[in-house]
Formats: sequence, C-alpha cells, structure tokens
Amino acid sequence: MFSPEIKNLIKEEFAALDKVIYLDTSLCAIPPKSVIAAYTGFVDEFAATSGTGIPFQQRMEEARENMAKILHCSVDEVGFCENTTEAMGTFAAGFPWEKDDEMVVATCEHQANCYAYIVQSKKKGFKINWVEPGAGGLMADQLIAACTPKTRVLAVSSAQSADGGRVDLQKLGDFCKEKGIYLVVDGIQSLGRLDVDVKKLNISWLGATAHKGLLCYTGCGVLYCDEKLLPLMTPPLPTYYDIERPSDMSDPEDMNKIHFLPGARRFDTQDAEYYGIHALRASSDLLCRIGIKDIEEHILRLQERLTEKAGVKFLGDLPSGVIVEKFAPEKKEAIAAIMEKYNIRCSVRDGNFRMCISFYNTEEQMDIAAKAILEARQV
Amino acid sequence: MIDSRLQALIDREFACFKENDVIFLNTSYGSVPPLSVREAYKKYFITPTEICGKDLPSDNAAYKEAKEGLAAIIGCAPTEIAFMHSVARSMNSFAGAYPWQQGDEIVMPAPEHGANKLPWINAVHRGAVLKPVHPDPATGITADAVIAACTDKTKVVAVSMVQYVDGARLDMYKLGDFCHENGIILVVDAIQAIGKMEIDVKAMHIDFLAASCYKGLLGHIGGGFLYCHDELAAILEPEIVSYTSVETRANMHDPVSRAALQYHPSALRFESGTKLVSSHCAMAAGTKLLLEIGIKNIESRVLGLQGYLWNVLGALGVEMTARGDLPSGIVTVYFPAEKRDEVNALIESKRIICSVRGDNVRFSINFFNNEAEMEVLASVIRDIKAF
Repeated sequence: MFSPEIKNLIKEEFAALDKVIYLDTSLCAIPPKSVIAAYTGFVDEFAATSGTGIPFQQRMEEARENMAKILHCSVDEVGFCENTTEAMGTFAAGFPWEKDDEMVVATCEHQANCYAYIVQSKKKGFKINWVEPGAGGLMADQLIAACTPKTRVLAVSSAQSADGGRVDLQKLGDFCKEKGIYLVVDGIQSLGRLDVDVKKLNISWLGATAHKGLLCYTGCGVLYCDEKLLPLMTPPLPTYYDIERPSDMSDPEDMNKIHFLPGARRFDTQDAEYYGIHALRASSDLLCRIGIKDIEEHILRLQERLTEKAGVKFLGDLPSGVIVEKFAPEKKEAIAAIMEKYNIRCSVRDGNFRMCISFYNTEEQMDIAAKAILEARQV
Repeated sequence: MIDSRLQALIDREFACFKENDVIFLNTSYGSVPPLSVREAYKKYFITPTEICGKDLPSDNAAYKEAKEGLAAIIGCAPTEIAFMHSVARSMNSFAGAYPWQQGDEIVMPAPEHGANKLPWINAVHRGAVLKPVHPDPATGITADAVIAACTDKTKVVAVSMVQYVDGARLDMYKLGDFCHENGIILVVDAIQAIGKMEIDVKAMHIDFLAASCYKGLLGHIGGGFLYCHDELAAILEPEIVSYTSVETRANMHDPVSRAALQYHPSALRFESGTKLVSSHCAMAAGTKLLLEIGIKNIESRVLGLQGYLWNVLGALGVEMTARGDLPSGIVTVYFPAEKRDEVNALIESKRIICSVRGDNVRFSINFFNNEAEMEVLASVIRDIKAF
C-alpha cells in the first residue's frame, strides 16, 4: 500500500496522464515528469556549459547502482545496452556453446528473445528445443518438461509480450539451479513493474530495454550477468569502455593483452548514450523511492479488482498486470472506439487488445476499464 | 561560400558559444548541438506527455529524413544506411559478420581509436591477423604508408579518414583506388571527418563506413550509423539480429518459417530491435542544417580557418608540421607532460574549450569558428610551444 506521501509523488510525476487512463506501458512508457526533466535538462545543461558541465561517468554509475537495487544484485553485475535484442544477442553470441548443447525456448516469445538463438544455433551447431504453449498460456512445467540432460540454457520472458502470461520463475529458477542450467530472462515486460529478484530466482542473464516499466524512451537498456556466468562469457561487442587498461590498446598487436573490466561493465555496449542513462538514473531513482515490492503489490491488486469486475482471466502460472482479451479481427474499429470513448490508451491489435496496469493507475480507473472490457465483449 | 544569410543562420544556431563566452574548439571530442538539433531532441522528449500517448507521432518521419540526410552527405542511397548506436557497434557488426579465413590480414594504423580497434578482436578470434601501420614521426599516417603495408593476404583495410589524435587526414581517393584495384575491402571510421570534410563513398571506393552523430553531425552521444553497399552486405552474417534485421518476420510456431529466417539483403540486416529514435530526430535536424550550409562550404571554411591560423602562427614565428596527406581542421600541439596544469590554466584563461590529454592538446576547428578566434588560438599555441 502506498503511503499518502508516495501517492502524492506519483500524482505529481504523472500529472500529464490525468485526463486519460494509460494502460499501454507494455508498448511504451509515457515517462514521468522527473524523467522528462532529466532528458530535456541534459540538453539544456550541456549547451549552457558548452559540454563541460555534466559528470557522465558518475551519473552512469548512479544509474547502475539503482538498477542493482531493482534487480537485487551487485552493482558489478549490471551492464548497459541499447535494447533487449542486443542484450539477448550478447548472451547468445558470447556464451560458450558446444555442438551437442541444447537450449529450451517457447514459440510464443517475442522475436527479441528468439532470433538470437536461431542465428547462433546455425553458426555454432547447438539444438533448440521449442516449446508450444497450450491454451492456458506458457507454464513453467512445460519448459521444465522440455529440458533434457543436454540442456544448458533455458530462455524465457518474465512476462509474455503477446498475452501477458507469466511463468513461475521461482519454480523454473529452482529447477535450473538443481540441473545446472543457465536461466536467461527477457525482462522487458516486468522490470520496473514486478519484483524481479535475480538472485532469489536463480537468473543467470537478464536483458531489458528501458522504454516500458523502466519509464524511459527507446535506445537505452540494461542487462544483468550473474557473477558465476561472467567468466564463461566472451563479450561479442567489445569497445574501449569495456577494457581495464586502454593503454593495452596502443598497438593493435597487443590485442591478446586486453583485460576486460571486471563484472558486467565489460558488456556496456553503449558509446554511452548519456542522456538515456541520465534519464534511467532519474526513473530508477523514482522506482526505488516508491519501492518495487509496493509497485508489484499495487499492480496485482488492481488486476484482482479488474478480474472481480470484468471476469478477466490471466494466462500462464501467475498474473503479471498485463491482460489480453481476444476478439474477431473485424471488430477492431468498434473496440478501438470503445476505448476512445472511455479515454483508455491501450494496444488494440488485430484480434486482441492488451491492457497493461501500472503503479500510477487507480482503482477508479480499473472500474472504468472493466466497463470498457464488458462493453467490448458485447460488440 | 558562406554568404551573409548562412552566416546569420550559423550565428543563430550556435549562439550558445557567444552566450557562454567561449571559443569552442572541441567538436573532435563532442559537439554542442546547435539550436535546431536541441529543439528536435526536446520536441521528441516532450511530445508523448503532451498528447498523453494518443496518436504517438510516427518514428518513421525522422528515420527517413535522417537517412536521406546522411545519404546526401556521404553520397550513397538511403537504403545503404543502417542506424547503429556507435562506431564501435558498427565496427563490431562488420568484424563479427565477415567470413574470416585463417591468416586473413587486416591492415590498420596503430594509432586508431579504440572504437576501430577493440571490435577487431572478433576477427582475431576467428583467425585473422592485425597488421599495424606505425605513423612516421614527422608526417603521421599517410595513404602511402597504409598501401605499403598491404600484402596479397590483406582482406580488409580499416582506417579513420581523419586520425583522432593528430588530425592526420588520409587521401581517401588514393587509398580507395588501391583497395578497389586489389580486391581489398575498405572500412572507414569517419567520425572525425563527417559533417566537416567532404565524403563520397562511391568515388572513394569505401565499402563500409561508420560514424556516430555526436561530433560533426552535431548531435549528442548516443546514435550513429553505418554505410554498407548491398554486395558487401550479402556476405556479412550479423551477430545481433532481431525483427528489424529480416525481410519478413518468422512465424515462431512454424518450424519451416523459423528455419527460413532471411536477413535483409541490404545494410538493414544490421539494425536490431527498438531504436534510439531521439538520435534519428537529431540527425534529421543536424543533417538538414549541414546540407543547408553545404558540406563543400563547411570544408572550405574549416580549411580556410586552418590556413589563416597557419599564417598567423607563421607571422608569430611558430612553425607547424602538417600531418597525414591532407589538413582536416584538427590541430594537435604537443608539450612536456609535466606542464599539463600550466597548459590547462592558459587555455582556461582564454576560455577555450578543447581536449587536453597527456602530452598534447587538440583543437578542432569547425565552421562556426572565425578569424578572430584563430588569432587567440595562435597566441595560445605559441605559448604552449614555448613551455
């Protein structure tokens, strides 16, 4: 439960969304006031100081510290990347695959968590065991059942992009730990919205762009690499920020003497998109101040209310705060009109609409969303 | 020729330097975006909250405009350009994707920037060999020196068009002709040249080019692009792939569709995932400004100011040595490392923004500078040389 002080903070930060019911964070966030101020402030401050006034590295490390708190890991296990694709691609290209290895991934995954494995399995010869989810969405048990003694990696989204289905990551993580399987997670639909405790969940690698639950714009993302996995990985996108002693680089012949930075900083693929990381520092500050556990509790409580009022069912093992309702594709316009009537911003797609509950949504908004859902079913 | 209308435009766009009372000679490190680029960033940052997420503006307009602007600046088709977030990322895209054979040689100037050095470790891991070209102490790196290092095993020449430390500019026509005649792929880090020096990838026979947007392209750090012609793209298998790298999205539920994943035939195969759209907005605005002024005019202005500086220095009795094949507008002055604090103090006293490193200071002249600033710079260089 948010305290009155936190409630006021949220209201102030998201004042721009006062007149709408914004349920589209699964597509993209509308950044809060402090994050917009970080973006625009960067541009102004940079010009006002002729590029000399912003302590980039310090702010980058502050963002890293915040992300470590959100992920419940060490600051040395956090890296920055451009997006989920790059994070998952970095894992797939940098992992020491053997020819006989197998990995497990579901067919319902977003392309950002599929293509990397398809490409690398062709290059390196490992086998992908694909899991087809059932009518109830993807379940942890299905993924577990697809593992064999040769499985080295299990890749899954913490919440599915298409249907909001959330697997029981604790069950998966416990299984993977017991079997020595690396659990790789696309965290984009849950980071900043649900409490993703990478240590408790035994996650080895996680990637997410910051433009959804992390409340920024596209172009900046984070990755987590467990310290036990780190020594096995070869950074596939190395740059000069990733090495310990740039003096090693005085001569290309010294390439074999390169020492990568300790920890996940070696995966920092950004030519440091400073204003994005500057904004991520602001958004992660806000999320830490509100508290991820409280955020998750609020979102799931609102989902319960929506379930109660409109009989909304969730897919997968657990609710994620994202609900998807199917409809006949020809009803798309009519459904979009209903959402418009109620001032609801959500993703109306061919054959379904997706609503993503965030911590700034309210019980009153859920009641209106429930009305819209009930009306949409009558179309 | 920069006429009075263009000069007024430049003065307006870069008024912040006058307001800050500084002489900005640091584009080689990073630009301070002009007014129109700053406005493009801020418009992108503010718009979604203003419209509460309703009818979010299409990203496609800035994406298209930026590619058209970049294509016009380097003389290629927009379809030969892919957005990447940095030079290092672009170079990684090539080095990780080329079908290296054991013993393939990559010829590279030793003083290249890390962004055009580290990524080649991908090639070394696959059996390629890096052959460094060490600069002549007097002239720096030249096209002839790079050419002389090539053998019949050389598959790739990877060079900066303008060296970041000393500003040595290579004769890209000479190098390109040689590479073309000998079947060598010419890979160019253009970050210190683009937006300041004329680049024609076709006439220079450049096969692959990378640049970030935060120097001569007048944006902030974060965002950039690569150029790759279709014939080369066809043999490069990207390491990092997503829905934006393929022609048609695979149906993951269908094993045949999954197996048939086909990369885009063009440079688009290197674009992966959600993009740094704010940088597209900045590059659209930045290239628009550069093209309005004209790259030819800009190069002429930059080199004209460098010539003016040389003349003033000559009159002061200070001798400067040219680096590389051609001037670039970057002037690096060396000093005893223990004098660094004194050099910093001198530069600060003249309110010059530039890069002071180890035993050298780098001044980067750009089109918004003027003759009066060159006179101040000349006196500073004279004093540094006296340390």
